[in-house]
Amino acid sequence: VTVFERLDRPGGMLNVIPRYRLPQAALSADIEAILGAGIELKCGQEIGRDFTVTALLERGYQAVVVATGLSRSRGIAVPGLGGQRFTAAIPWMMDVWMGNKVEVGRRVLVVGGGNVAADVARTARRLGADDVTMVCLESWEEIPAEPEEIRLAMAEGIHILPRHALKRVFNQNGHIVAVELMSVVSVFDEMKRFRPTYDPSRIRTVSTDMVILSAGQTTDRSWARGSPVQTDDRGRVVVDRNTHVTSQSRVFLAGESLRGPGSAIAAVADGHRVASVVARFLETGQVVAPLADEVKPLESFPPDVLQRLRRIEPLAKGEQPFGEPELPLTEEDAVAEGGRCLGCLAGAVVDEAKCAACLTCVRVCPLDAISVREAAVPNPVRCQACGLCASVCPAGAIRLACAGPLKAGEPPLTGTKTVVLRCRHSKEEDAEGRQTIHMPCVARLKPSEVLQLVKQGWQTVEIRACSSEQCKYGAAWKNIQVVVDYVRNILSRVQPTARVELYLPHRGPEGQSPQETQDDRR
Amino acid sequence: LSFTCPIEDPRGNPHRKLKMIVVKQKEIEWILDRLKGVSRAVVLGCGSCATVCFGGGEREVEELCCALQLALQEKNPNIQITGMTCKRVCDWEFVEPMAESLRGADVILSLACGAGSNLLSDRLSDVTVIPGVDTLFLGTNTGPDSWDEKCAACGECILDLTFGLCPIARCAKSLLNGPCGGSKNGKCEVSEEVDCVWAKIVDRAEALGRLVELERVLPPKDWSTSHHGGQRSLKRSDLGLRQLCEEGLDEI
Repeated sequence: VTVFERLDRPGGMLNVIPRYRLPQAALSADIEAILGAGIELKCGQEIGRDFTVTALLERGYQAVVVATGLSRSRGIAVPGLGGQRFTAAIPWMMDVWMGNKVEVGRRVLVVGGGNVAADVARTARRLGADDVTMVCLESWEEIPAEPEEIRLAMAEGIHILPRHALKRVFNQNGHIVAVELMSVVSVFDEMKRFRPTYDPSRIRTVSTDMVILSAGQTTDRSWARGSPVQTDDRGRVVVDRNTHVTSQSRVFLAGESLRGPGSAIAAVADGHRVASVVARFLETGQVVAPLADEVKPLESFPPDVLQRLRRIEPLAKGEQPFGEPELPLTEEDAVAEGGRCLGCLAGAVVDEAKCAACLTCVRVCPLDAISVREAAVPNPVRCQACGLCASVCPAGAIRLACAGPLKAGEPPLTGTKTVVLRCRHSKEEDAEGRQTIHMPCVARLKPSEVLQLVKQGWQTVEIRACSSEQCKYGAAWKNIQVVVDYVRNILSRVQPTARVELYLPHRGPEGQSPQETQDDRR
Repeated sequence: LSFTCPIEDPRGNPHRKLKMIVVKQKEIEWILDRLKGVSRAVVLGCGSCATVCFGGGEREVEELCCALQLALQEKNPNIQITGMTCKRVCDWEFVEPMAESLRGADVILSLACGAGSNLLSDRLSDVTVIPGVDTLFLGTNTGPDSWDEKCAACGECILDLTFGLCPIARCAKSLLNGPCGGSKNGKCEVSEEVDCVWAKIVDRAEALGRLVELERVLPPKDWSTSHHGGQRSLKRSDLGLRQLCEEGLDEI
């Protein structure tokens, strides 16, 4: 497989994504992994300019995938445009983020309201522009950029001027000095088609010394002209959107040049799709549409979690403008992150048929990780599998995915019949010659589990908790004292010879050697 | 011992409308006394109200089974004690799938409320039913481990006249016109821990700016809807459900 790349480096439009969103290291790592599979890369090679589709086919390539993307900024016809410091967003961003010399004005006007326009505006700010304004046709409600992008742009001091269109640009000595904006009446017609109408009588003049046009992107289709690939009367390549194949059975189209504007990851997915079509074509000679992907949107995080998500923070005054965007975790957060297990969903699992929706789990959970709708619903993002809820559930409806039923063997026929239950996280050594059961946290013991051990013939159940300083689950360990008292009360009436012993490490002042104190209430 | 709930909910996802009947488990000595000479016992929990108030859900079934077996290890080592929990003992459809096991027992120790336990006796003519709980009242929880009576099921609701707080259930004398002379600092003379509901009613009326309404004297209540006419029943022929059900409801 050979990749012909127009730019001097691989990555295409991903090179235009600001580094504060997509760090160079992340991009390079991906590209290296792809090239490492044995892909040949030829940079500085543009289809239609340096070679043609026909030439590739003649050189023996059995399939050609054209994925040139939407690499051109769409132009608009406005009197006065074209002076110095007028630029289109894509080439300008490419220069900025690929390390070429760029000019930036003091007062910059960005024309457009999409995500790219927001990136352009924020980039201009980082390059030192004092005053950046985004002008767009749409109203506040219609702005196509993500609300988060608009929030960040505004937080960085970027002005947003909705419902305005560029009418004229004033130049002086070849330099832009001001623009005339006219009011927009509507952007879409009643069929929801893009058909803006203006009110030329309502004019606003804004002084500016740079205009960056970010009013959408378009694909360069000039390569198709004179090629065996058919185009329609508007110059668009005739292509089957399901199979990616053009009128020339060996030429395929993929990515944004086929699907239109979208996210980078959607274009990558389309790349995977066309690869499967081409692979099958090369093996069997047949062009078959891949099975439709069933795209299930991920459930969004609960609002309280959403609030805590790390975001790219807006640029503060005097801040290093191109700084690392991702903040490292605090020590506390890192420990909490390490403590949970998302992949295997180790925490609470609810049997909805049993749940009586009594709310007890909600009341006891130290992490606010469970809620009740028709039945209890654990929040796997928050749950750290301490098991308190499972211990107290009156319906026996909650279990921990990471912990099966408590199992101890039969007690020995002779010698001490003592079984030890211990926190898995405790640092102490197991005593030799005693059956020891490790559990995620002794706080998750159910009274009935202790009773079961006694019933099996164990005369003494020794429960060894770790100290609250060590306890991974915060307050959860308090529960063990409650459980022990509860079980002792039952045992005193049905099996007075049985003993339940609880060892809580002595919690003395720091520096003192930890000693055990045996709680001797029975 | 199996603690599984052998019942699949026959109606799919149930609406969990709990009436919150509050029950309290009987002392284990009392229960042991009634298991003398029994060879097969089933401890039957209820997955609804009795579960919510920690009186007789699966948790209590598990604990009680273990405790009883431990207690009887020497005196009655051959006793078979099985634990089961039913979604709602007061609906026979939920109990029926486990009826076979229940019929095989000498004794059912029912941790369901009095209504559920009665239904078991109504339907299972040859099995002794022993209540494992005392049915206390209709109430709401006032904390994770406490419940208060709120309704006496008197059969004729007068909450509209008493600002939404029930003196029948919550006043020691069920006074219709209160408070009485035993009300002191918002507490009832019965105990310092018992609120005087009439003091609360007055406070609420005042807060609503409707204190004047309490100047009228409520006439004696018609108690014929309460416990004085034998077992109470409700029939809703207007719903037309009997015609819709293939089998008559008489057998339930």
